[in-house]
Amino acid sequence: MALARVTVWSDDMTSYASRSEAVARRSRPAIDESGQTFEDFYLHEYRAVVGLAYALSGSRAGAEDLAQEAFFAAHKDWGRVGGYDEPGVWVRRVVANLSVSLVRRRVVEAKALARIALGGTPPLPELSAADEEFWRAVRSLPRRQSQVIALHYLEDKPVAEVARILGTAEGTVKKHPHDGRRALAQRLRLEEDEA
Amino acid sequence: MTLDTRARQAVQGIDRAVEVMEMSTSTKVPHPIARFDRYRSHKRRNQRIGAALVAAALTIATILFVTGGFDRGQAPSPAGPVITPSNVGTLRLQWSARLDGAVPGQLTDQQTLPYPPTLANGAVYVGTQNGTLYSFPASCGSPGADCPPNWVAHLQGAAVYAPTVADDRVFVATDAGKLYAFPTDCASSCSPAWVGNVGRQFYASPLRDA
Repeated sequence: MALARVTVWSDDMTSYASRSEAVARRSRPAIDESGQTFEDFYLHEYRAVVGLAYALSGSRAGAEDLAQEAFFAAHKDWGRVGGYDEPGVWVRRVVANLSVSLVRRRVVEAKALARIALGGTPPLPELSAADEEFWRAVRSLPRRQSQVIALHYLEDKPVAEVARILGTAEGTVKKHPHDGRRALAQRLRLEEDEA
Repeated sequence: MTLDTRARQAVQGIDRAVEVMEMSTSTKVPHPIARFDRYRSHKRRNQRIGAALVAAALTIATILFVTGGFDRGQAPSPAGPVITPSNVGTLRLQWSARLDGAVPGQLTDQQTLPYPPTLANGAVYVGTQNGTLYSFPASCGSPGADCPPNWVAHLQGAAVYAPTVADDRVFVATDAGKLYAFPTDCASSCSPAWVGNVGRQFYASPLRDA
């Protein structure tokens, strides 16, 4: 599995290089995917998937549970999912869809808060105000656009892979990075990087 | 600061949060498979509880819907012909207006469908993603005219969802977590009657209690 790639959406190759390093730090070292066990897969992908859930749901308490739910679905059907070329694509699609589902997010958050109140596992630490504002702006974009932009920034995925993750046509995804970045820059009152 | 620089910082924020979470739970969280076994055993029980709660919520929502308990505040459509596939081709433009930005909308598989404007008491209200709320007269000039607004108001953040009208106030929420109430009878430029700072993302138009 390629952990980080320079993508065709690039406006600025320097920034992409540093993003790629960040992606590599967030992911575990690459492993041979042929015949990998579910445990290998889980340990390899967990951190990136929780990050995606946190960014897209904005639910500090529920991000872990959203990721758990996606991995649980993979675990139940590992005979099939584990046979895919890239099971990580599948689990990201599940978590991306779960994270933007309002009902699912509320249910998961309520469960997580109840667990915390009963002395269970602690939630994710809170983001700084500036980071929270950025991800809130991402979430305020139309649903599909916010998924594309989150994958773009968090995982540095090229258009073709984002389309595979979201289970949609490459042509449909292509328009979102440009429109999404422009909308995001306006909402955050920032300059868009030079194309 | 540019967007990409800000984005890199925000990504690092997520990284740090996940890293701290892992450190704080790594000694307490059981092996993933053991965790899934426990999760699976609880899931069926939770599903039964969830199904009961959903059924109760649906029942309450149905009762409220039937009795008119929910209302987005729009006046009923003026009496007139219903738009159908057979007569939609006969519609003619009455007026149009220029806005300072896109109207928030719902993303479908192929396109974004803007939320429809809110019509109430002879006025049409619409907010934009550039943070402007407009009020237009519903009947505006001669056919094909460019309609000037009754008034405009500036918002902090982009308008999200459609405005709601109740009595003599129009309510609109923004992605900056603000809820505004404007008097409907403003002239040219409108200042809010009050601003609520919710500080969180909104997920629907404001609702009024009928």
